[in-house]
Amino acid sequence: MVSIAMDAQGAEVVRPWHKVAEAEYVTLVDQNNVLGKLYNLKAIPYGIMIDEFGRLVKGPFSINVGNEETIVLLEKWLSDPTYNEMLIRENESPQTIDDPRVAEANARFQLGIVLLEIGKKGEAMVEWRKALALDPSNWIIHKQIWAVEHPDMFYKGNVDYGWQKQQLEAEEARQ
Amino acid sequence: MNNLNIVINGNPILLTPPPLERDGTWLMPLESFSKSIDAKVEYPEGSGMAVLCQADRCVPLKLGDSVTDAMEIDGIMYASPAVIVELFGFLIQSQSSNQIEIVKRHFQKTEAGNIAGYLAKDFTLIDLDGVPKHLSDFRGKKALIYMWASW
Repeated sequence: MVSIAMDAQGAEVVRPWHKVAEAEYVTLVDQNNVLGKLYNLKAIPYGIMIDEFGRLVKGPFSINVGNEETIVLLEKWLSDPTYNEMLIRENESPQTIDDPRVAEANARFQLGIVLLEIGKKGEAMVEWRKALALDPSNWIIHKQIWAVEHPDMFYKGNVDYGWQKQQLEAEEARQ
Repeated sequence: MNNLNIVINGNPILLTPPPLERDGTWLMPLESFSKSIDAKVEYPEGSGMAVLCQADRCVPLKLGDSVTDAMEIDGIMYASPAVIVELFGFLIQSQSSNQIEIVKRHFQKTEAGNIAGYLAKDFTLIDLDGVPKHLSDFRGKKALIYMWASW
């Protein structure tokens, strides 16, 4: 298991979760959205299955580790070598679209991450908002904006999903 | 000794050394066969694999003794064409005891790292102690990459 935190704010916000989970697996931080860009991710949690030869077997796919079917799939994958080959043959790999708007969104998102790192939060948010306008279905960018502008709704106790719903309604009303 | 005529996209191809027959299967000399389909072969040290790459699409082939592996015979690496060609978007159009015809299939343009069966693109990210880790560090074990966030 390789856990990857897609957190623009870096290891500082990730560490508490790794600790709470008492994780024995490795956690990496994708602060600059490297995997988001490579795999055209729009949301999390997402999973990718890689076999022992380094081949992509399945995914990226939306993953819920509380789901019984997912657990069964993973257990079978680990125990049955022919299942690995079957999953590869069956895999409907997502096609990457060469959309210049998405490419620009990725570039602006990454620029904003760098600006945030050097303390220019205002300018970072400007870039992130432009990125979201170019790639409106990108929840990684959307939630990252919320988390930086309203940290209390994310980092003081539990994540406040009620607040997120209100926020979304307000944003949609403004459009 | 039987000879095998190889035709790729309508052009006859000469391989050096020539293909070998083993247990009723024709095996291609890996280096020159790869070249004929615009692919390169590498043997990463200690990996037990031959890695064939066409542009940025890479396929691993286990080094071994069976006709589905990359096999060493008299110092030369051989492999079965069926194992290689389909993965690179070719199709074996016809095959007889002394001729094999291979044609290019149409492939939709996709990001190499996203196609099942190909090597996932390597990446480097930092762990919580600031130590860089690579996806290739996890070779040899099945890995579930689980992407999440604090928000």
